Amino acid sequence: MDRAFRRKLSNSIFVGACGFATFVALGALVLILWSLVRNGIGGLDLDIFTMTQPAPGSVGGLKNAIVGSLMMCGAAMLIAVVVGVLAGTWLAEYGGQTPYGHAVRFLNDVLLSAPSILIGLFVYVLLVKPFHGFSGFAGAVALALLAAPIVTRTTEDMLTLQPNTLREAGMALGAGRGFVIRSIIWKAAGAGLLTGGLLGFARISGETAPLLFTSLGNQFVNYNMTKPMGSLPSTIFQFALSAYDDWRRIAWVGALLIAVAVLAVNTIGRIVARETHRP
Amino acid sequence: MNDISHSSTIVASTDAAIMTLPPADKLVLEARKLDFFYGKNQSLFGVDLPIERHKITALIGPSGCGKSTLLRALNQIYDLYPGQYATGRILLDGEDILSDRGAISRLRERDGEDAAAQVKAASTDMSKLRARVGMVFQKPTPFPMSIYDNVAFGVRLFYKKSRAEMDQIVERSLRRAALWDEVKDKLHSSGLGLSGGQQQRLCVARGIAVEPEVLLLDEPASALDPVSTAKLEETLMELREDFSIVIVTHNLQQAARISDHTGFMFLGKMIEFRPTAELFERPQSTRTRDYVTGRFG
Repeated sequence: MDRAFRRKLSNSIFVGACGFATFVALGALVLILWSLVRNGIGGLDLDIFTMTQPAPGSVGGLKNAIVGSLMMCGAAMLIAVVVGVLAGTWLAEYGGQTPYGHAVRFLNDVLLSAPSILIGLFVYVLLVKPFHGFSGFAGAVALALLAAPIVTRTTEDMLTLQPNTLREAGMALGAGRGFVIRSIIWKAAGAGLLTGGLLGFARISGETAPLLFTSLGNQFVNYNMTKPMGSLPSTIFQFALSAYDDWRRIAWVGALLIAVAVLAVNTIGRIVARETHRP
Repeated sequence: MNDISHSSTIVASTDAAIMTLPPADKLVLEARKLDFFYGKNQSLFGVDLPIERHKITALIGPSGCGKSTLLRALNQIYDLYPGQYATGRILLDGEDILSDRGAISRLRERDGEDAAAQVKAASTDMSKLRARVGMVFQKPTPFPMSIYDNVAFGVRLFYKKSRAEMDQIVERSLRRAALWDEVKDKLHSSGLGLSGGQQQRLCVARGIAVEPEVLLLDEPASALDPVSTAKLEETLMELREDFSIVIVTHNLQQAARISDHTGFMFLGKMIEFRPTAELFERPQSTRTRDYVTGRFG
């Protein structure tokens, strides 16, 4: 076999393997989306958004779960983005190379892969037991603990990617270090920081385990974060395992809603990032 | 690094710098017997550099000779990085700017009490220093914001200007950087959308918008094509009327074309500093002659 032929052969084998792997990954995604749409779209009507969860055999919706998920995810992302961006900035720009910085980075990586149910138990001990009650706030904190490490990690990576000459250029005009970071570096890394937030949101939007011990669930609409709150994942969990066909149908709708929400937030985020960064 | 310090001791023992100094009363910035350290590695050895007001001073020399290091010492941009420090004197308008306590104690250790006593201890305000000594880098570094905001960035740090005043400053700076005609219709689009040469002139405009006394340029044309380079050089020649310019360049023709004084550096030492025409036509050091005639470097 001559050399050129061998190269061509190994190239086509490798490209074929890559193509197959892509097909498997994308195929699984398409199958998931397809089954979500097929099973969920039929039950998607206005009632889902306006009525609370029904007793078996009666009409109802997911309003309590949607409200709870929106409030808890919103609060969690607020906490996670503030903590994560500041921590990531500190790691990238200030203390990342100190022993303390290395320790923080290591612990953040551990937290990044911590089982979510452990986070739920931790928050249960921290915020539920001492206050004698489950609450939406505890749920939000548990979700924030899951998202913050992702935001921290992405922020550090994205800021580290920014060239030092950009920092020097800012300082060479007489700006202080903090001002350069806030007005130049964060802006330059904007799309990356947004990606971190989106990844964090995608991680927590479907989490059930950490909410079981914290927000518990609530079959009525509740806007008070100091009381137990419903959430889409926990309702799906409850309904999908039930013996009632109408509950299972609603569970499919809930799953579809989460998927669509993650997809929408991601798409909008990308578009915003592209528009603001268009040269 | 051992290699460098070893050979430079040979340089020190064989010849002292050949300097033709500009008149003392015309100096705007001056380095005297400057040493520079990256941690334990010394990369400048007792360098003298006089910068004459409203002239262009070029620094030439082979890679690693310390010309960029010297430039970065002049506005103390190195102080971003822990472990980098300079010892010696740097005078801006006759005032010591290398005057923090650490620098003075290093000077005392090196040159004795008398030398240290000449420097008045004061903590230099880095923001003000850098507003007076501006800098343009090798790669264009436009900020991720509009062309207008890029130019206004430095001005906003120090002055509160009305919209109309700022408009004037931006236009004036862009005109002086010879960029106005190319960008006047898209001032509010991103500076990242410009070509490399335009970006570099944008950085020059941004640097001169704060009206510094000295503008330091670190190989500003090395990433540019010949046409952009010619435009940038033209710009610098015009800017000489208002600013004092120090330019590090690898391009000998460029130094010969635009500069009034040229310093040739080698292995962390100033070998020869003279009016440009003299240095290129009648170099006195054999090292300078070998370099400017293209025998090495």
